[in-house]
Amino acid sequence: MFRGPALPCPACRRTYEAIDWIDAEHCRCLRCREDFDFISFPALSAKSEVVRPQAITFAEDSSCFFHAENQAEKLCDDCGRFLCHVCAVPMSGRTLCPTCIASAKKNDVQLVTSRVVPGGAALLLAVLPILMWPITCITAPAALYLAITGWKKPQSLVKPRRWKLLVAGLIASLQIIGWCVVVGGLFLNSATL
Amino acid sequence: MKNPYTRLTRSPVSFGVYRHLWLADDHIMQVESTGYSENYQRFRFEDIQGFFVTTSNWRIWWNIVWGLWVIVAGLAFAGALSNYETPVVSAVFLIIGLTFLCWNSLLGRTCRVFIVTKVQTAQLGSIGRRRTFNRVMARIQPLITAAQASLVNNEQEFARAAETPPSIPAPPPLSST
Repeated sequence: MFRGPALPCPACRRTYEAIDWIDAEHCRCLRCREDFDFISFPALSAKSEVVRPQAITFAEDSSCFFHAENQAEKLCDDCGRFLCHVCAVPMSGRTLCPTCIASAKKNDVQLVTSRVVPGGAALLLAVLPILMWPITCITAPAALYLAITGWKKPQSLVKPRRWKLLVAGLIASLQIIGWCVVVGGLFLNSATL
Repeated sequence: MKNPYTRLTRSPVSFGVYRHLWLADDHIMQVESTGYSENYQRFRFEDIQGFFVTTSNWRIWWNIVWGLWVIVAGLAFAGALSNYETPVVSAVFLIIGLTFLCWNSLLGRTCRVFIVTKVQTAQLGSIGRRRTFNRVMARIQPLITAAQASLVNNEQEFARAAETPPSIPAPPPLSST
């Protein structure tokens, strides 16, 4: 019997013993009876590095900002704090502390996990209600608001284009102008009568 | 600013949420898009331990759906022909059904792909076909192998160190008494 890596079944996420390895590239889950092909990389068999911080031995040693009892070994590339082996997080060729990672999460392209992209919503809000045109008196200002407020917001990481906002803003503006003309015409008609 | 991402896959057929896979210099990123918001999941090349691939039944189910469509449209088409009418509408429906049936069959086997890293096993919903997976792997496998080249060298050093027997120091010369 082939002895493969100790991995849980990805389909049923059952116990580690559930996977029966046929060979290095094929296995079967004994619980959910699902057959898998497996493509492995060297990281699977690589020994994980055990990080052990050094304790301060001399009074003159610099201590970690977050762990006063640990000796500082690195500097945060962002804020310059002294960091022990545990707190120094390697990130895209830089060394950062946990605080800088937390604060950078919103803006750093490498760390951001989600973004609101109002372009699609603004475009839908501007175009779809045309099928039921009376409600455009509500949706057009909303679409215009989304287009204006979304212009300065950070865009999608993968498709950083603003054409949807521009088109949505134009269509919404035209709808608002149309409503102004209609309402103005009605008002003038009633005034002349 | 130049976009650092290149598209690897387009989203498979889904409702509400679209998943794409993008390639960057040192990682791949799965984007889940709802139209209003996007969620990003990054997998760095040096962290990827492997991929699980399993065949799914989606191709069969879609073939059944389009097959039923074709049967219904075909019956309507045949009925109109037998009544000496011009079957325009049913012909359009028949062509649509046949097109999707052939397209779904030609796209190849459907599959589910899971990526294994040091900390998680996540499904790559952006890959729905075996052919797409092979294409993506052909693109990223050399990159992952290159990123993990140092790990291979370390392993080889460990193996060499394990194979080489420890040198035994020569015993001290016997002192003549």
